[in-house]
Amino acid sequence: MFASRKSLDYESVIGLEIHVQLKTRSKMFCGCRVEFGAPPNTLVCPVCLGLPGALPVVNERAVELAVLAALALSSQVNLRSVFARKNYFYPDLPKGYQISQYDRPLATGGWLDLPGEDERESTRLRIRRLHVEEDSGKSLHDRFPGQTAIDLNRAGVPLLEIVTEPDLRSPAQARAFLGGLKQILEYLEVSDCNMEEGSLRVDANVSVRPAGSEELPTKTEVKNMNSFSQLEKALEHEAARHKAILMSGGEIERQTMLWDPARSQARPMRGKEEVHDYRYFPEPDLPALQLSDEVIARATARLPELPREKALRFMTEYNLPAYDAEVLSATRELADYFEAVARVTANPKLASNWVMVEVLAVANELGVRIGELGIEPARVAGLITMVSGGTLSHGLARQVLREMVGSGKTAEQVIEEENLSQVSDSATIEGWVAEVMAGNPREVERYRSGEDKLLAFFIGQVMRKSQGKADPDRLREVLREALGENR
Amino acid sequence: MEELHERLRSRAVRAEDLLQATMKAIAESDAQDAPLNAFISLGGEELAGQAAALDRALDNGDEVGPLAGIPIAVKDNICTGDMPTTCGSRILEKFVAPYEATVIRRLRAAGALIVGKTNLDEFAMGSSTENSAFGPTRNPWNRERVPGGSSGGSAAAVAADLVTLALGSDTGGSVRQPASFCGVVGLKPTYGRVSRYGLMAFASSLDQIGPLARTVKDAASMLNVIAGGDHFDSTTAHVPVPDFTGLLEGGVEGLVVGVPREYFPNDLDSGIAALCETAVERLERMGAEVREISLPNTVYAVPAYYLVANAEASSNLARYDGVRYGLRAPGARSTAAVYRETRGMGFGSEVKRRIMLGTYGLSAGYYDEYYGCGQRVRRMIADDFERAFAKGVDVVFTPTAPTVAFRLGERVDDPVQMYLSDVFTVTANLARTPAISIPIGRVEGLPVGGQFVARHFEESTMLRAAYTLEASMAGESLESRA
Amino acid sequence: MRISRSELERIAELASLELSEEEAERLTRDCQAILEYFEIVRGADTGDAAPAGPLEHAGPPREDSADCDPLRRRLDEIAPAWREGYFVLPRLPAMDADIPAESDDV
Repeated sequence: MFASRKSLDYESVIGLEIHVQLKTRSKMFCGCRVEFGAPPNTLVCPVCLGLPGALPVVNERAVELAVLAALALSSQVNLRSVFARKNYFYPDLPKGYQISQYDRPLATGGWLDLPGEDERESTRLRIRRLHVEEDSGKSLHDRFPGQTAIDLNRAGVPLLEIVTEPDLRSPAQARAFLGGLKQILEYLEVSDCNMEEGSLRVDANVSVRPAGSEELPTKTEVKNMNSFSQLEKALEHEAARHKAILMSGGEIERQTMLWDPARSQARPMRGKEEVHDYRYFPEPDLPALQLSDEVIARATARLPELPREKALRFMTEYNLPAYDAEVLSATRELADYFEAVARVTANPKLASNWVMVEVLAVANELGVRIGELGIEPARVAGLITMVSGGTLSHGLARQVLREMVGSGKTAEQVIEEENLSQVSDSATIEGWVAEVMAGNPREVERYRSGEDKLLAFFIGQVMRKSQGKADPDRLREVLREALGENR
Repeated sequence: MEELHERLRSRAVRAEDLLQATMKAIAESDAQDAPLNAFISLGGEELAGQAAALDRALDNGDEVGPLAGIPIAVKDNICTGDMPTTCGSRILEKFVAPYEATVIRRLRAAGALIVGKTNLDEFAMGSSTENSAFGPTRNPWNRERVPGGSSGGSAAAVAADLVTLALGSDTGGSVRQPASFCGVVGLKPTYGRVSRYGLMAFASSLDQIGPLARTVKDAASMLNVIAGGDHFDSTTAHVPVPDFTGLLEGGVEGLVVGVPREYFPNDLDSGIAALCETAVERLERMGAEVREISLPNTVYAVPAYYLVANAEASSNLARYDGVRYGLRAPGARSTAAVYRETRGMGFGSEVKRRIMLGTYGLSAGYYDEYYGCGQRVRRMIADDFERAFAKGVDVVFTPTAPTVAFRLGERVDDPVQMYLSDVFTVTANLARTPAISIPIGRVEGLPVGGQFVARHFEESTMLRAAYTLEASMAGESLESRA
Repeated sequence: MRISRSELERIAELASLELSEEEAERLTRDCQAILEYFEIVRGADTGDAAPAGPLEHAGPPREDSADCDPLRRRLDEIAPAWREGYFVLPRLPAMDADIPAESDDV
């Protein structure tokens, strides 16, 4: 019995609680500016300092952004939701309670479809609820020895909390879910979703059970994962710990684990955490949050095309392969860029190749986003047209592209200034070919005795000599002719 | 007050002289064996500067606000920006709030001179002004008696003629009950009529700032200035604010006055019952239609009130943790100790009792039985009033308090007895209706108040009834006591 | 309904209130008396009464513009302990050990 239990396959049951900072100018309940990295305690007022007598007033924009996110996740937006106080003492929680939502959240239900191996099939992962709340400040424990330093700039920044159902079955799927969610939220421009700056944070509930079982075993909560890879690592670690305990016949203790990314290990938070009794009750300082059908309709109308819809459209409209469509729809900026290029070139496949391979490569090399390259899509389109029209070699075009970064120049200007235009003139090419053949008599001999693949060697040599300017098609003809002599 | 305002305008009186006289009177009220102790702190140079500026404006014949130069006292749980705001607590002993309450901004814009901050039960929790870290306030009518509470300092300051007007806050009767004990007018507006921004919260869903004055008309003029929607308080109503002073005349002809039998229990002080009866007869004689009505859930009001108020208070007072402002326990060596020790030494015993009961009533397993139950009964009490008003009742008339001012120390050791002082006033807070207490006579030489309650945002009807009754008693019992 | 001494201590812990022995004794007694008095409320026939909730009317919403009520005094004037722009608190590993490097407790 025990032995057979040991041999069972286990699966993880994971649910995520995700907090994203909503992209607003001011805080959730007061007019303080939202800014990352300002000097400590400079973005504060009576309200977010929790001064006695100060009162919260809801930021309209924060609610709109949350509604937009809810709609994009097919969640049911509740026309009436209620703010609630979550009571606990913590040094960076100025009022001794956090204004959140509890039994009447902003939105209920919803889902996110994750693409499977085949682009047309997907896994539906359910969302339990979405609500708005305020962020806490920051406690710095290493700023001064033996002291905790409190910075309240972040206190009151609007947050959207998204809670999933325990539908995730592996750490990798949890990571993929978070990636998909981030992509949507970025598309909606409701959040920067920057894990390093803390505008996207994730906690996970983890349990492990025999594969195929329907039971909901004791779970633990894992906190403090600050990147996608740390999330996956921490979940793997925790699932393995559960599995080891279960296999040895032990029982999982319900607790909160604090992930330590530096040491790649988790340690339990002290038991005191478990006695938390948040004493939620409706926030008496705020009326119920009422949304009209009109507000919802307006938000629905403003919903942009979402990543999956976009990818599918790219496949049908531009006839792109699934892979290209997915890469190009990764961000709204990239997708828009591609479409702008495609529109001008009237050759979507070429536009796709150029944007996906060449332009993205330059951006990646420089570590910037495509929009930060300073090359207008129309200029990339112009470059592509020159290549397809035969006036510029692919290799030269690449070089031109790099010169265009941040310069504001068109391809023509770069070519002119750098004297890069393609040479198709037969006499010049024949001259280069003759020089190369003279310098490599043994290779000429070998080619002529049947080593056809050496043609590439000669092309390379001539290209080097011509600094890439030789028209490749013309060169090929000239080479064949010259090498073919006496064959 | 109208007269004073006129004398200031005609320059028969100068604001600076008036201010000096006020300060002198306050000092004298405390220079006795049984000091009145109505104030915790007084205005300084900034205030003197405001008076001087007003005099210059008046000299030049400039337009000034409706309260220009009028000395006003403010309960010490309302942030004034310049003076400390202590809430009568050690935990905020030296705290000067770095901002100003909306009501203070409005009063100052109207030209009022905020002369000082008045004593109160710590965090407005009490009915006698004995729970103050700064000593009790005494009743100007009899210094062995309490002034009522929690706005006892404000009521005493007006009753002793130290100031013309005062602000109090009323969570369960904290303006009206001390007004009754001190023989002055105390008004609690409809919840949402006056901004709470800058009022240190006790129970957010019940708290409301209101005026204390010698006459209904003065209270109405103060309400004119402080009422109206505020973008810093989401619970204020953005509804039109009438000129309350302009709607006082007109009498009570045809007005339906409901007299709820639950407010006249058999054990009610017979003197108080008789004065209420007389008041009702006067109203009837002046043309009001008097109806006996029933508000059957009144009997549950006090416990329901405390279940709700304590829960909110336990949360509202969590911010006093010694981290950002106010007291921090010296010598606390850990973060957890800072909280525990600061709160342990900073709060008085009544505040601790209420925090404990409120925390208990919200904690896992007890929410429904306590806070939830309180809120359900609250709804029933509000429905009682709704039904009466729906049947045509315009105002409800009741005694303000079941007794006259009791002796200092008489109830401090019996919290339940103390809570029962508010038995007739908590209902208006639970139902969020406006209510006013006006003097209706004296029993054994001590003032007695009668209370009017009206529909939401119908302060004008209530004020008209109160004004008419007040006028009918002119000269009988309204002289002030120093 | 009886409130025990240990229950009282649990509540004091939740409320972060340090109580002396004498205070704890007295509070247990007072709270007991008050809770007994509150029992009157059980007589109310709350049947289908919905609990009073938050207000249903709402004022005009706040636009997302960065204009707060500015502070009139510097924070170092009101803070009980202030250091280089931060509020500071003592920290004792034995008591506060599990405070994470950065609060994620939201």
